[in-house]
Order: sequence, then C-alpha cells, then structure tokens
Amino acid sequence: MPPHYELAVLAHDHTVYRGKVTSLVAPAWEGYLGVLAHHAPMLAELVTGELSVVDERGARSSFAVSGGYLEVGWNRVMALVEAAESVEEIDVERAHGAEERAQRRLRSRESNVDVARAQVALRRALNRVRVAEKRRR
Amino acid sequence: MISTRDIKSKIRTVRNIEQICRAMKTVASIRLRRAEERLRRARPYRQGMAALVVRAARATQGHPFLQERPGARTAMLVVTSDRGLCGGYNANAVRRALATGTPEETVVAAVGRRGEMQLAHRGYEIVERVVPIGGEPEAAAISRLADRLGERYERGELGRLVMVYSRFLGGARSEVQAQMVLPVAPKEEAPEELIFEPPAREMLPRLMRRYLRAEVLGAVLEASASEHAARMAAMTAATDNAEEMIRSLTLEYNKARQAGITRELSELVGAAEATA
Repeated sequence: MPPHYELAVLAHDHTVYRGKVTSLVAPAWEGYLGVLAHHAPMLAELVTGELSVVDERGARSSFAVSGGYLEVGWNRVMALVEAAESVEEIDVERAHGAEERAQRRLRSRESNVDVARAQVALRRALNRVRVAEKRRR
Repeated sequence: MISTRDIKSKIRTVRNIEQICRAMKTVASIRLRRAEERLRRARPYRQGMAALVVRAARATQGHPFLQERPGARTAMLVVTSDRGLCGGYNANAVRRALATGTPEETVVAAVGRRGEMQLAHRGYEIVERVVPIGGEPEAAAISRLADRLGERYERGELGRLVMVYSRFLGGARSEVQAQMVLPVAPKEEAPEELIFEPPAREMLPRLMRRYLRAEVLGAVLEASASEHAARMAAMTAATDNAEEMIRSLTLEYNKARQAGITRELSELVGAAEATA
C-alpha cells in the first residue's frame, strides 16, 4: 500500500470527507497544490476550485469548494472550506441558473448591484459546473 | 367550603395551562432535535478552526487578534433566549456574565432579548446586539455580528473578547461557560516551523475573521440547543405539575360533590322524619 495519511474535509455546517488518502490536490492561493504523505507542516489558503483526493484503495473523489484553509501536519491533513459539494451532489441545472443570474446582475448597470458579490457567485457557479462536467464524462 | 362549581372552573383553568405547556414542550422538542443535529454537524469545523488558529499563532505574531491590549475594555458576548419559560437557562447566563466583568470595564454584545434587557438594566453598555435570536439562529446575522466585533477589536476599542453561553452537553444538560476568544492564546510550546501560503502577513487578517465567525456561530449554536433543552425540561415539569394538580382538584371536587349529596340526603331524611 502506498504511504497514506488522515484527511478531514470540514465545511462550517457539515463534514464533507473523512478518511485515509494517499494524495490530494487543492486549489491554493497560487495555483493547484498537491499533498502526499509526509508533507512538511504547512498552512495554505484555498480559493474557489476543485479539491480532489485519492483514497488508499485508489478511488478518486472530487469536490467543488469555495475558499478555505488547508492545514498540513506530519501525517494528518485538515481542510476547512466555506462550502463544498461532491460531484454527485452538484445540481448542474441549478448551477447554470446561478451562473445566468450572476451574469445578468453583472450586465445590468443598476447602481444597487453588488458587483463583488455577483462576481463571487459567478465564480462559484462556474466552478460547480466545471467540476461536475469534468468528472462525469 | 369551596363550591363544586368553583372547583370545576379551577380544573378547567389548569387543564388549559397544561395544554399550553404540552404544546410548548412539543415545539421545544422538535426544535431541540433540529438544533442538536445542526450543532453536531457544525462542531468539527469550529474545533478544527480553533486548533488551526492556535497553531498559526504559535508560528507568527503579526496580527492584532494575537495581542492583548491592557487598558482597553473587555467585550462580553452573552447568548440568551428571547423569552422565558425555560427554567434557569437565562438566569444562569446572566449570573455568569455579572461575575465575568463589571459595567465599568466591560461592554456587552447581546444575542437574545433576555440577556440584553437584564444586562442593560444592570448598567452595562450594549454595543452590539442580535435581537431576537429566534428559534433557529440565522448564520448570516451571527457572522455579521462576529465581523463587527472583530473590527472593534482591530481598531483597539476592545482589549479582550469573552463569550458567555451555555454549552450543550446532551440530553437536557448544559453548562454555562465564560470562554476567552480574543486574543488568541498561543500554547506554551516552542514555535514550530510552518510554511504559510500566502505569507502569514497576508493570510492572517482573513483567517482571523473566519476564526471569529466560527467561534461566535459555534457558541450561538451551543446556546440554542441548550435553550431548547432547558425549555423542554421546564415544560415537561410544568405539564407534570398541572396533571398532578388536576388529579388533586378532581379528588376535591368528588369529595365536595359527595358531601353535597350526603347533606341533601340527610336533609331529606330529616325532613321525612319530621313529617312522619
């Protein structure tokens, strides 16, 4: 068996994933970041993107996450994420709907549109769609 | 002697009260189940965040949340319910708040109407409030409260932040806590080498905000479950008491009725004998 470590992925309102994994790839501040067993202690900030893990049996799981932190200890890793959905949970139609709404808000020139919030919403929606479509094919 | 009609109306009153208590008990038990589930799902994140922040604090010193400010006032976040009928739940939290800091050196951030009212009455300045807290506290409103407290702390208005709330222990049990949230107390261990990405200076402000949100929301969820548990226990006791009261009143009613019948009989018999 390849070297593995304990991983917990926690969202503020539920536990997303818990188990032994051999590797993970997370959307870090400066691009995607891979973590294998025995990685040096690290604290990384995560952005909106795809978090994928390979468990000790070689099975891959994928989550659309939006922002958070990755804490790497010697053989224990914890990801605290704002929101996370596994590929199976993502409702692509809803994500497309959210994408359209955000686009519309950004296009409208009304002064009451919160541009920053609309951009965040758009980024999250696009991320969900991308993660879902990539893994389903 | 009290008349049978009076007793009857008394029984009716008590029965009405019993029904109200029973309804409140049912509502509290449903809310408790939901609050407990929400709390169970939220706890790991809060614990993880606290551990992560302590670890970050040990490796760096560069944020106001990590430094104590002697001289500035302490803020107390006090979580209570909006309404009573929940046993000693609010009284316990308020008592703990009074013991935690005086009105001269402490300001209050109130979540829940009871605590706000009672602490304002005792002369505390209420600087922030989320009132009413409601049956199911809204995460967005609580996060905004956490952000505002964080801003006050960063501006140097506050020296410490202490949360006074009831931690839920399961069943009907809870325990009032006064927990210091700011400044973050690093453990007394040698600083460890920790890679920060992005650099700590850049990461800490955002991390500290998330930490504060997780702590405040976590405390409110603990308190909310405790509140529903306390209300359920109080209403169970009230329902039982009402039942007991109805039982003894019914007994009294029957006795009074029997006494009336006996009296009428003896009057009849007396009258019959007199005319015989």
